[in-house]
Amino acid sequence: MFLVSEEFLTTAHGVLGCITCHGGENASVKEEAHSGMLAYPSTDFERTCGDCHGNVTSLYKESIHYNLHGMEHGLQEFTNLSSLSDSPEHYEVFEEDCFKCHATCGDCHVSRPKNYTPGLIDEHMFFDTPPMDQTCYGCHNARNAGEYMGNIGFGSDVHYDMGMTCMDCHPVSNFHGASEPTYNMWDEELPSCLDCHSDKHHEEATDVNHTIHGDSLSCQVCHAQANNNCFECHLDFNAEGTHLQSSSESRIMFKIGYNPEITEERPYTYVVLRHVPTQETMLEVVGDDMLPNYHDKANWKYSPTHNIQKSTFQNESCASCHDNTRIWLTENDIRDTDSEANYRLIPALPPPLS
Amino acid sequence: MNNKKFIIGLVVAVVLAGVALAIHYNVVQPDGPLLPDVSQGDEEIPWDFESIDSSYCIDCHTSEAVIAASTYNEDNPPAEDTGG
Repeated sequence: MFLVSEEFLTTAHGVLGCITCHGGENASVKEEAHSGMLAYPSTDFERTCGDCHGNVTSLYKESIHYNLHGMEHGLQEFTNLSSLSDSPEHYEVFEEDCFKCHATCGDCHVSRPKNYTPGLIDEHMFFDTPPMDQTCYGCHNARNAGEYMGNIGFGSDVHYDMGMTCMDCHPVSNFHGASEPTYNMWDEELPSCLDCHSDKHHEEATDVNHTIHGDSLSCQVCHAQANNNCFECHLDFNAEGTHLQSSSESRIMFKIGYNPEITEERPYTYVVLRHVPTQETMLEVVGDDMLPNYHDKANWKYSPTHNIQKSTFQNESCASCHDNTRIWLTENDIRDTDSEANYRLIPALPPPLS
Repeated sequence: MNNKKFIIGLVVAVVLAGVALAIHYNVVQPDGPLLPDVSQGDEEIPWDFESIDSSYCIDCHTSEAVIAASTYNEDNPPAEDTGG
């Protein structure tokens, strides 16, 4: 598991000596050698990595990969709390379940994420650009990374098929943090399809497919495949009763609805939606009425689904979308356990062609 | 006589070398590194590191047999896959 290659010992990090980062003692007896040792030195990244990489570590506490602000604020919005730390029960949920995805430098550049599978990526070699399939996928496997690589849903993403990785589109600030704190991932400088495909912007395009709908459709409405949706999420203690863990029911579906939040970057009227793992009673194991604002927020969310293909079943013809009522969110898709806010996202169906 | 010429030549060579270095670091490349880059493995190492002797750690952690016999996995099981 923690086998270190001879090759690593000749690298810039290797010549430092194990103890420089991990602490412990240079002793022949294991217990003495491991005394005071830090298995994951980057949990204290400002002291360890920061000595040489201060330009990165000085920003990292603002990264949502570090502080998990997205999950924290997502949970907080279901409550009346100004901060999750105001409620021991909510804070316990965040710390024990959400915070499993908290990452520091080593979780991407040296080892696999701890919540995925333990162990080093390659015998302690450091990766300037982490390998997507062993790092990003470790945390994002059930949705965007799994769909991108074709392990969830139907086919993979055409960009993956062409050899592109997460880092080819996402700027480094999405991982290392930017100078300003972000509320959640939507505050980040996110990539856009138009960054590369500017000729497909509805004001630039010369083909009718990309002009006829103006900016009313997100790219995914025509080019994404079905995505993974989670329902009936529930938090419970593990079998040993020692830790909280969540579970939910997954379904591969494709649903178009109204854009939950129209912004300058995402002005579309219709977008692909994804049901996120929430229900009103999901936290009842730790307390009653934990989500008092549950019905103010939809649990069908805007989905920048990451399994893009040029040709999809819904863009095969005009009728395959306009006459296909199965792909539009309807009242039948709203479950008893869902938020009432979802009804706002049920779109008027497009005019039938036949 | 020859010895004297040799010593004078040596002094001149040292002075010239000093002048050349002074010109290089003060005029040609005033912001340049004081130490040359050294390449080890695939990485550029821009300076000399203070290395802490970790020879005992290395003896065990580069040994497949020692690591295979480790019980770390049983003692420190990974968290459940969050399915994120």
